Amino acid sequence: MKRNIILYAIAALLTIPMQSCFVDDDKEFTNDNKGNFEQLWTIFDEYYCFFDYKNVDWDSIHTVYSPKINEDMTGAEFFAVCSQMIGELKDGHVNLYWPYDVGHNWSWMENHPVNYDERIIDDYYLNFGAHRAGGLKYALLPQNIGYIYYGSFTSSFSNGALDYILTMFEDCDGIIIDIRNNGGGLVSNVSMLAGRFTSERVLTGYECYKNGKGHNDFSKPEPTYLKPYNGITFTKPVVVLTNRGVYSAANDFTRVMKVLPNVTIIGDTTGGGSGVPINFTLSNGMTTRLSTQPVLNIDMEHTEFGIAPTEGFKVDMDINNHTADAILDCAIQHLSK
Amino acid sequence: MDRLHRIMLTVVAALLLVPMAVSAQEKEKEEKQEYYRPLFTALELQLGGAHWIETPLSNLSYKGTNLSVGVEMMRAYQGKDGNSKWVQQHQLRYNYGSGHIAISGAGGSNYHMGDYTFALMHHSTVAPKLRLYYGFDLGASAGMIDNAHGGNNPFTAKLDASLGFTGMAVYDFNLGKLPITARYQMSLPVVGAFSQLHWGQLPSGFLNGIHFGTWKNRFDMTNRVHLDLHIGTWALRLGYHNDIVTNYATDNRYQLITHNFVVGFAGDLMRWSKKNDNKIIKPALYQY
Repeated sequence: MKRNIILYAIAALLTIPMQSCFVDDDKEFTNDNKGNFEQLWTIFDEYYCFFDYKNVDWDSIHTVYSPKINEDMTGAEFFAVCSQMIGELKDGHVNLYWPYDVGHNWSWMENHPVNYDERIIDDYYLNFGAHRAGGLKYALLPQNIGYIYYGSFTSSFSNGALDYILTMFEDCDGIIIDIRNNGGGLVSNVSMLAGRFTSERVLTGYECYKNGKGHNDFSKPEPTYLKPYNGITFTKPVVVLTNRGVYSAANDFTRVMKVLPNVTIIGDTTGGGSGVPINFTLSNGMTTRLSTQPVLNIDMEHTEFGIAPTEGFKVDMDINNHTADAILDCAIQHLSK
Repeated sequence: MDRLHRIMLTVVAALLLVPMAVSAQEKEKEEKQEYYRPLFTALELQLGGAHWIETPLSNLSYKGTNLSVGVEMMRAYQGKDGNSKWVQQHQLRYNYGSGHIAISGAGGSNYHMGDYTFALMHHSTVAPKLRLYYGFDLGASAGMIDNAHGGNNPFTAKLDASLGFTGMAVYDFNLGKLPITARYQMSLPVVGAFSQLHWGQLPSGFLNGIHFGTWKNRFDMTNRVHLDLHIGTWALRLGYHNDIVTNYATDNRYQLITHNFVVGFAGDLMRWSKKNDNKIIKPALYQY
């Protein structure tokens, strides 16, 4: 009997070392400048979704930037080198945050026409008579066209407000939705607004997600649909005004609206930003953000670098002409036909 | 035979059968009354350390403090003859953890987990005062881990179900005049299902993240060592509780390891009734 007891005890004790077979830790990282640099580089290496699409050799980027990191650097110097490194990705969804600064890359907007001046519209088109409902600014133009300006998808609006506005525009010949300089926000607001301009469920694109550490480890693209709002909708002609300042969720809104047969996109190519970004924290407390989940259009193409206007409707405005908005004029002319 | 006769015969037969049925019921009742199975109940508070990593949120591990509140209940299984060698065990726990990045103390992360385990164990006495219990257990847990960095991935939801083995050794001894029940229990899930999101996957795609688990991609273990110090009709419980939950899917890793000091109260809940006087008490864990 004693022998059995000893055997049972040994068997029980043997299971304890089994823990070590499964318990991993993160010894490969240290909390110094080198360690934090490696953490940052590794996060991008394993999670970022556009390496191949952008033809970026991330290993060579490591070779270039790693020697610039040393333990004598100040926090600001470390931040500057790391921001420069992730800036190579030319992605507005890629940032590095620390309490004193935010690392940005603005290449998607740099050297492109501004193509929007709110003051010109207020002065010469709305006569400072626009109404506001949540994040929406709206007015009825003299040409019997409804005008809605939506400046940020982070600003909310209610279905009640949309009911009120669309009822007011019920007899209009068309509606202009101006999203110029809209830098994005909540994706949920995209379907909430776009669903008002279709009467049918429409395929709008595909989304996939990374399912491994490899740069090309993605799941099978899954279709995404726009459902019509179960209430007041507007299915007459609609124009969406865009410029390079249209980014992220606003870019997504453009992608969705461009599929609808009653919608025309007028203005400049959008800024892009089609990867759903997520955040990570480094051991030194800095936080980084990066694109991880690509969203594709109905032709299964990336829209990371922007969405072109409807063919024949690429319009730039002369920002020095302080009395006219050529993009808005084009939209009014198009809807007045 | 006319209709009236038939009715009378039926009534008489029914009246004769009633005492027979009552007598059979009483006999059966007598057999069942031989054993009384008290409900062993323990209420525990656990406090200790935790170490966790959830790669959809961070490629760094976090460490901090774990606080758990748990209930354990055991009861001898009745079986066909009322004298079965099986016991059933229920464990219900809520765990909360809060901590920071392990290698630096920066950042912040919290978790909330609830788990329930049902176990069915056979027991045998292998030596005087030493009993072994062994059987299988079914577990389920649900919870979430959050990360203070915000963005589109502020938290991940966790679901888990498992089937595995469990066993415990229970030994009674005295420390001076103080009776003590010492116990070691281990639980080792073998198969199950668990959630693990893909990187960048939004909550809407959560159902795509359910995976079948074996020791190839998951390893969980629970170890508990308790000393129940019998004071009067109840016992003061002191001990150690260790949990390991780990799984791998789609190159993601989730791991939560806790080491806790346990303090609590335990005892058999018995109903005081004259009907129970002649019954043999059949406890699940303690011996009288």
